[in-house]
Parts: sequence; structure tokens; C-alpha cells
Amino acid sequence: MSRATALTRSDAEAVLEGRSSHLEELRGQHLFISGGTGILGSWLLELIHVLNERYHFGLRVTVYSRNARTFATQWPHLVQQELTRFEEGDIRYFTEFPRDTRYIIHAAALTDRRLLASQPFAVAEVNSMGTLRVLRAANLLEDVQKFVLLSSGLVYGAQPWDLPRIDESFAGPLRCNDMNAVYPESKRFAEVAAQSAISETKLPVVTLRPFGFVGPYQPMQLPWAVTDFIRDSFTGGPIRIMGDGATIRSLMYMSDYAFWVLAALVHGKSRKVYNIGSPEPVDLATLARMITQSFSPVPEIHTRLGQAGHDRTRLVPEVTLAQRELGVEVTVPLAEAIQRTITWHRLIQS
Amino acid sequence: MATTPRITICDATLRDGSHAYSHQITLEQVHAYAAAAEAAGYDFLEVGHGNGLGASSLQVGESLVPESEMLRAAKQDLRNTRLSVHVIPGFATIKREIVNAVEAGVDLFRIGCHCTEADITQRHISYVRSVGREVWGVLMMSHMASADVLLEEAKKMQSYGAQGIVLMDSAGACFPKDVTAKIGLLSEGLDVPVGFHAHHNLGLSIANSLAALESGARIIDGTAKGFGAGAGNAPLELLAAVMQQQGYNTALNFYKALDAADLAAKLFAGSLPDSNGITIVSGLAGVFSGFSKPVQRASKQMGVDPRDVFFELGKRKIVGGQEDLIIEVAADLAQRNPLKPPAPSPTL
Repeated sequence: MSRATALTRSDAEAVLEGRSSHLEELRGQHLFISGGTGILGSWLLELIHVLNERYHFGLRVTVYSRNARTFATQWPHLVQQELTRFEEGDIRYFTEFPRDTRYIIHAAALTDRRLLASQPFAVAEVNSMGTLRVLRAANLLEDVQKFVLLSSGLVYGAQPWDLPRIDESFAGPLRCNDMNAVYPESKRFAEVAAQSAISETKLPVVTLRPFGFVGPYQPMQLPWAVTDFIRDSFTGGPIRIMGDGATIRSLMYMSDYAFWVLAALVHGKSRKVYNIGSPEPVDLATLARMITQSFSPVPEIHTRLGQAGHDRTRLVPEVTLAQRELGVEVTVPLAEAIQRTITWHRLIQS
Repeated sequence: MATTPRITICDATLRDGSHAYSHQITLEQVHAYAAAAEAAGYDFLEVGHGNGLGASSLQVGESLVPESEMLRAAKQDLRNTRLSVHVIPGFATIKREIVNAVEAGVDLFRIGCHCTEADITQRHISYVRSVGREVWGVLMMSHMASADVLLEEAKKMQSYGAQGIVLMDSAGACFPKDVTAKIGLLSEGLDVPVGFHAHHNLGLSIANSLAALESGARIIDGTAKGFGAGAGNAPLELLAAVMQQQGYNTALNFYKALDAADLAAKLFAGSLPDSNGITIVSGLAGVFSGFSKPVQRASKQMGVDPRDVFFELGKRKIVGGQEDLIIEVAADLAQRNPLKPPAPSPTL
């Protein structure tokens, strides 16, 4: 086992330590994960491997993805698991689940911001039509216990600056004719489709709205603030922040994220929506400093490089509902999450 | 207390000027001018073939000096001024030209494309970010798209990781009101700084640059003595004077900027651009300024009026990179409307 693999495995073991019984309902079941080769999919497989190896859950998993072969080459340790099977395909043309599927996590979506800009039509198709196809196929199953839909914290629209955290009842403005609207709007439509399935066929859907994350398997090429900061630090800096660094986000470590999703699969209440993420705000300047401190020499941080007036937004979830009903908590503090992510990238690079 | 935003000045003399010099700039000229640009306090000095990295070719003209040598030569003379290059995907590949330019010490990559084709810049922008160098997106021929379309394309580049967006008025076809509308919208709608690169075909390069600055641009391009394609660019020495007079916050040394312009006049004597019928028509037709020399060559070869060729190229919306079509257009015109031979002088 490589040192990078050992790091993620120990994170998976840590988040399940004393909590595996919380997922007992999954023992001996068959779980289907669409889009299972993304960042979340990778972490779900890490945790499921520990559940099966260490706690003998016997949880069978079918992973559906367009990139199964590439994924197998990149992360063989996640693929070579006895009870895990991969199916390659495009979610837009999905037709049928394995007949004994009882749990479903629908995570397939186009989320890369670069794709949202270049191929918005494809994003609209995959995120909305893909969800319709999966819901229709799920309706044909005999014994679905739970269908978890991965939506997005962006469906809320802009969070008011003076609102510390968004709860599940918040509805902010979204401009449907904005060129960046395709992602949140496609996710909103996915939620609408899920609510229709609940109403029409009583499919037990639980909707999750994830916010910001950090951790291993997250490609540094993704143009998100945290990945930008880490990548620029690896290349010696400087970190360039367009605004004054006051923009606020929150970041959850990926092992917690994956555990919360599995917990929703077991304890999430059908028809309900849960925010998933860290409730602890962090501004970009502080985040940049937390990251640069792990490098020597410490990269410079430049701020106020962009146009005026676009430099302060806030996106932080209220997660008390999830904590109460799913029985989950944040186990990895942000500083540790960042440290472990940087260490993993160093190990991968070496 | 609010501070005046810092304006970044990009000196494109040794890149855009390459068009006006048939890409024959020497290493001695690079050394001499780079030192002058450094002294003038310009933030960036852009160096290379007129069409950017990897463009040296029979089709658009071969450079006298290999680009890696030009870049290394310039880098030797720069300390505070950073080295930049123009990159057009297609001419420049990542593995060949960009990797080499990174090794040569280029600080800023300005990835350009026709103003409606930002998609083609994704891989190049992403690569430059991944190696930790600064990267901007450049939308060329910006007179050919509306402000809304330019904002859409600019947002794409921003989403790929571009840390600045520059609108190029490659044909010198813009009027101040166009610049105000376009730069104003981009300044409102983008997070990254916005810039403007003027050409002088209609004599509006300084007016347009000033309109851009007044509309929120934080980056401004120019060249010493306007040394650049077609009728040239916004002369940096005039920009320096205007910006100083208007109180813009820059790192300029005004006298040294004037000295750099005087030096350019000596270094490139005989090739400095001037306004003439061809450049004015290319501006009116909205055709890339760099087409001036190939249009004149093709027109002479086919016996047609080069002004007609420019207007026809404008009708066909021909853009940089389509140089092959110039001869085709000239040949078509020759077939349709050959120039009459000059009438014999009357005998007195």
C-alpha cells in the first residue's frame, strides 16, 4: 500500500471508528452509486472498503460511471475490491439497475466550472435528464429502501452577506438567464424531478445539498479557491486573490462528507432535504494563510487584484438538521483537513 | 480610505511591433529595448512573433531569431518588468511552445483567440495555471462581437482560471463609445481585472484607451511610438503622458517612457507605422491590422486595389490566421473587376 493510499485509508478508518454501528442497516445490502468515480465516489469507496474489510458488512456496490476504465488505472486500490463492480456508461442513457439494488446514491453530474462555461448544454442534459432517467429506473425496482440525491448548496442562490448560515428553508434569488445559472438550475430541476417521483410513486428520496469540501482525490486543476491556493503554493506562489480576501466559504474534509452521505442513506427521512458541509466560516485570506504556512518558503499572498465590487460573497450552511436527524458531526477540523490534503498531494507527487 | 486602483501597463513593442518589422527583430534590438522598457517602469514587456508563440512560419512570416532566444535575451535585461508572451492556441502548443517559454522564464502568458471562441483556450489556460505562471485571456477582434457576447466569452476564460481579461481592438475599428460599453460591462461582470489593447487605424488609439480606463479597465496595452501592426498601437509615450496628467496610479517613470520611445524610433527607423489609405480602410472594414503587408503583396500580384481587398475581407469577416484567404480574395476581385491599365499621357 502506498503512503498516499495509507493516508486515505487511515482517514476512512478514523471517521468510522466507533460509528460503524450507525450504518448497520447497510449490512448485506446492494448499493448503487451513479457518478461513483468522482471525488465523493472515491471516498465512498474508501469508507465502504473499511466497512467490508474491518467490520465485515458484506455491502455489495455497483459503481456506474463514464470513466470507469480511467479510474481503474488511476486508483487501482479502489477498484480491486471483492464486492465492488463497475459499469461504464452515460447517465443520460441509463435504463436499468441491478434487480436486487436496495440503496441508491445518485451523484452523477457535471460539476466542473470550466465545463459549465464551455458546455452548458451538456451540463443541463446530464444533470437534469440523467436524474430523470435514474428516477424512472428506480421506480421499476421492487424494494428500494432509500434514494439519496446529491443536489448542491448553490440551489439557494446568493446568500445575503449578513446571514451567517443558510438553512434548508432559505430561498435566495437565482437569475435563470445568467450564463452561470445552468448548474444551480439543473440541480434545482433534479430536485423538482425527485419531488415528482416522491409524489407520484412514493420513491423514498432524500435530498442532500453539499457545500464546500477539501481533501485527497480533489484534482488541483479544478479552479476552486482551495485547489487554486494549494496548487499555487506547490509552484511557489504567489497566491492571487482578486478581492480583499473577505469572501467567506466553509470547507468539510472529504472523509466526513462521505460518512454524512452514508448516514443519510440510512437515517435520512424520505422527502427531506439536508445541508451537508462544515458550519464553520473561513474567509479566503485566512484560508490562504492556513495553506501557505505548510510550505517553505512561505508563498506570498496578493489581494485586491480584480475589479472592484465583486469581492465579497458568503456561502456557509446551517447543518443542525443533518446533525440532529442523521446523527453526524464534523470530526476533522479545517486546519487538519488542509494539512492532510497537502500531505496527500506531496505523497502523490513523490 | 479608498485608494486609486493600480493600472498595469503592458508594453507590446517587441511583439506587436514584430508585424511592422516583418518579424525581423534582432537580439541586439531586443536587448536594447528591453532595458529601456525596464527603466520606463512598464509592468510587462511582451516579446515574440507578432502572432505569438509558435507562429513563425511561411504562412504568416518567419521570425529572424528563434523565439526562445528572443525570450531569454529579454529576460536578461528585466528585473521589475516581467516578461510576457502572446499565445494563440493552434500556433502554440502546450508541449512545445509553452513548456519552452516557461523554461525561458516567461512570467505571464496571454492566451488569445477570436473573440467568440474562448473555448479553445481552456487547455492552455489550465496548463499555465498548473505550472504556477500568471495567465490572462485575450479576446481578439473584439469589434466583431457585442458587449454581451464578449462578457460570456470572458467569463469562460475566467472560469478556466484566467487572472485577467484583455479586449483587443485588433483592427483598430472601435470607437470610444464601443469601448466604454464593452469594457464597462466586463468591468462590472468579471472578478478579474480587465484590459484594453488599442490599434490606431482610425486615429483613436489614445481616445479608446482613455475610454477603457474611464470605464474601469485596470490593464492597458501600448507600444513605443505605436510600433505595431497596421497603423500601429496606442503609443506608450502618449499613454504615459495622458495617464500622468489624469492622475492614474502606475509604476511609470515618465521621462524614461519618453526615452524608450526615442530609442524605438532609432531602433526601428523606417518601419514605424503611419496612417495611410490602407490602414484607414482596414480600420473601416474591421480587418486585422496585421494583414496590411500581405494584402498589399497580394493586391500587387493580382493587379487589384488593396482597399477593395480590405473591404471584401471585411465583408467575409476574415480574421487573423486566415491569411491564406487574402490571395483568394484578391484573385476573385481581379477576375470580377480587374484594374484598368493607366491611360496613356496626352500628347501635347
